[in-house]
Amino acid sequence: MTDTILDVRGLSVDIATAGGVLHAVRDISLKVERGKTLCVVGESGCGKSMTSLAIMDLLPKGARRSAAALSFAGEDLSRAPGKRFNALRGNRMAMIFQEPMTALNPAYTIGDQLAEPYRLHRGASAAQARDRAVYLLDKVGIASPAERLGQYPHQLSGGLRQRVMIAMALMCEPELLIADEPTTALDVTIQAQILRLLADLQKEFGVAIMLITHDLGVVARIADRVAVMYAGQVVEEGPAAALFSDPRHPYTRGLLDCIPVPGRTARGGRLGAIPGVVPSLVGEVHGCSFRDRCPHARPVCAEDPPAREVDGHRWRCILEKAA
Amino acid sequence: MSLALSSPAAQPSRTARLLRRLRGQHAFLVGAGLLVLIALLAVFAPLLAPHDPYLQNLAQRTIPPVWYAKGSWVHPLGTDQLGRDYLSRLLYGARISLLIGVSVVIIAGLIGTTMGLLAGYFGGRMDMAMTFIVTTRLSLPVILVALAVVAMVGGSLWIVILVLGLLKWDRFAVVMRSATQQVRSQDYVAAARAAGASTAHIVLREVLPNIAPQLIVVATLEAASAILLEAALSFLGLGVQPPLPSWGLMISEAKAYMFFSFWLIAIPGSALALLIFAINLTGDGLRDVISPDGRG
Amino acid sequence: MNALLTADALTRSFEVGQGMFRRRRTLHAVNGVSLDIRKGEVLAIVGESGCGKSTLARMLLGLLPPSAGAITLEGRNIRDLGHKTVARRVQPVFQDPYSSLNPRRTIASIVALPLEVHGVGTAEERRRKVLDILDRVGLPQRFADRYPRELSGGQRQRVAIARALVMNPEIVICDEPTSALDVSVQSQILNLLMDLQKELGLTYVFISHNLAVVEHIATRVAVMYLGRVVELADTDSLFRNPRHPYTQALLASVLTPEPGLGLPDTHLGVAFPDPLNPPPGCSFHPRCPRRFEPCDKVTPALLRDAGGENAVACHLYPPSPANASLPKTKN
Repeated sequence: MTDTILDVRGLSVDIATAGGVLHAVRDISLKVERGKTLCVVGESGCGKSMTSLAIMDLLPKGARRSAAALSFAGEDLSRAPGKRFNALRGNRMAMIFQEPMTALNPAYTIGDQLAEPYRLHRGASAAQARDRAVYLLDKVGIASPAERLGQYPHQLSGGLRQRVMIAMALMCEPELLIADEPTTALDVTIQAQILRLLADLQKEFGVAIMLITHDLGVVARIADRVAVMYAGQVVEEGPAAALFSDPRHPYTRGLLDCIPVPGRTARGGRLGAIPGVVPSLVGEVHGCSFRDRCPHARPVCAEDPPAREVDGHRWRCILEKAA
Repeated sequence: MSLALSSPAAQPSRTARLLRRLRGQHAFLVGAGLLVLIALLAVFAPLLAPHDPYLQNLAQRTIPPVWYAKGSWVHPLGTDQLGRDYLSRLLYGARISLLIGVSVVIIAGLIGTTMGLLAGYFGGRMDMAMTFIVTTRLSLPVILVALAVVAMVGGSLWIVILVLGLLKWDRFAVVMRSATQQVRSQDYVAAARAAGASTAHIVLREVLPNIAPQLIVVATLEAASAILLEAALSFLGLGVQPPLPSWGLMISEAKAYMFFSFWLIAIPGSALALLIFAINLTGDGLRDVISPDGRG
Repeated sequence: MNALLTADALTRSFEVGQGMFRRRRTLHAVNGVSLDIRKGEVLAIVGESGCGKSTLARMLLGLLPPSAGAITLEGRNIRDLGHKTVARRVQPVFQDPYSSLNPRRTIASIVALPLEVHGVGTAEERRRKVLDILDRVGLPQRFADRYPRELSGGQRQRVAIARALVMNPEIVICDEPTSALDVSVQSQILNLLMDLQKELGLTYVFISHNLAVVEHIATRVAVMYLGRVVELADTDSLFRNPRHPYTQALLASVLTPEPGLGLPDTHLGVAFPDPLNPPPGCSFHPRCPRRFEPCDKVTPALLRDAGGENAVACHLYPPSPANASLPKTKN
């Protein structure tokens, strides 16, 4: 089954600031296949979180979305009213946030919070919702789930809270799960467990996952496809294996060189670095936004770089391949 | 995330940025402008006052202000029940109000800030002791204690200042305590300690500058409250004593005449309201302009 | 071994539970940790949140007095040396460069703080020293009169490093110095730290949860779990042959950017222990896939192996000369 659950074309997010319009996301296109995982990776300020919020229609005040197409399961939502998103959110598309403590309401029990979306969207009875909550808490690896239902978020550890978040997201059997840095706040051993859990649940329920992260290690292990974002644009996108074994964009390559890999990078040796800072995205932005930091930059980079594609591996650069 | 996108290079100077932030703050500008105006009037009262504020002239009692038919430019705001020039008394009264506001804030601010800093910085027993003292203080109604003290030792300007100063430090202590706790947990305080800096150095040079914004805001609010309390005490006859031209006292003295010479009560009353309004606007505006997240 | 800084049976407990009427409980953040920090090495302390690594760092810096045990600097207890002497020789770099620089001071004034405190030189000499050190950490001198908010995260961390180095300390205690930074900035800061170590002959205590970074920069590694050191080994041995099951799980959890390897199974249980109420015996046993009979009763001691260099606290490696030949399992 390779049909597309989410197809975003020409998505832009503009934020009004005191200094002018900030082009946080600039004309990006993404596709998520049913049952597959797309990872959106990039550093802080690259627009990855804005992208996910724009897709869920959860942008903060002052931020404006525009898109050529934003189709979810074949339905174009680019001009849909907020009400339509309310009906989909928490139901057919669900979201997991970075900080489970702030995403869970401390005033309600785990059980109440799990049941709420199910009863709202499915019109289920309290007993049905409870049964489903117990079933899913068990699925996400929480021991004695029935007792957990009466507990409050502060009584759980960070790892358990994130499991509860995942269970909550799965309550209505969503077709798409958007996870924004779901493991960043967690310890490394817990991170591995949560990611495994996500992968297992995906196999079992066939949910498509769009995972937003800054961690290329996470991406490499879980992604089917990867989109690398820089300064509001997707600079490279492709199948995970191809992107890691044969990165085409100088930014992707630079990022990979920055990461020490035990057994591969020489211990104590110099790590790769990307000099300079991310350009300002306020006002008009032209040309390749990476050119100020790129070792291969040429005068021609001041113009918009060409979009290239080989076997579904797309990138935007004047070069076929960064040496 | 929008912060990370704006390039950190090429920023305007600190003053320029402060001025730009101020430009949008209309309320603050109005408040601060009024406050400066009142302060100037008070400072230059001896030059501006047309008459001696204490000079009585029983032949010229309760002359109405100039906008009444019987008014004249000799006494632009008329005269009071003892024939004293009302404008001159009003101008001198501003001095008393501001003196009260500033002095009470200095005394209360010193006590409260010291307590808040110590409790917030050292925590533990120091904090428990301070919390106890603040709770005790909060259980005393300011106006009743002030009344009792003044009734016992007699009223005077300095007694009023002292009593209010020694009573009104509670908000300073509470706000400074929580602000200090917040700053204390920052790594730059740990870094200063790790550099070998003394506690005095850390409290005065690392902590204090970072809690100054909150201090200023509390100070303005407390100044307004102190001025009002003085007016209330004076109105009750237990504050500033005649013939000093305190606004509260002026209102008190005028109350017997309010049905025949309404301006006697309206003029100092409006002046008081205007001053409090100006101080509160300034305080609110300052909070926005120099709040830590604004980083002015 | 020429130990520069030594922690001897260091313990730090906190009373938890505020208020007059609530029951107070004791949290043993650090529980009997002994470590030698040798001249010129990079000793990494790794572990997850709540393992006590930051508390240990604060004690080594003299910011937090130990509840029990002692810290000695070249054989002398730092309690007797005095705060300023320790400050001259041991300096910190903290994790969050947004909280570690006073927002109301200029960069020059932040970096000059240690010089001022110790009364080094005249104002002019201090200024020159500050400019020198800014240059050394790769910051343009024009930054001297700016404020922290005008700098990016990486630039701020360079300022924090400059402040740590301006007094020429021997030991720098880096508490997660790159965790708050973006990947591309992290590598620059790591390169800088390695360069400075070589140039200035520094000794680092490098606290981190990122094992890939630790493998890259450290010469020796101490693994902490719930306030105790559970394994101590040179970097090579630890990464090639991790012995404690917790170390093995930590290593397995490192997600390197290598697609196709899939997600590791750490074989750890879900239950994370309550630090206020640690499990009896080995505090790792509820999560340990290889626990056996003595684990929930007897706390294993940190025992040196036959070579005397590396040590592990686990019942799988009993205190006999035979333990070197014990079969080693790898996940």
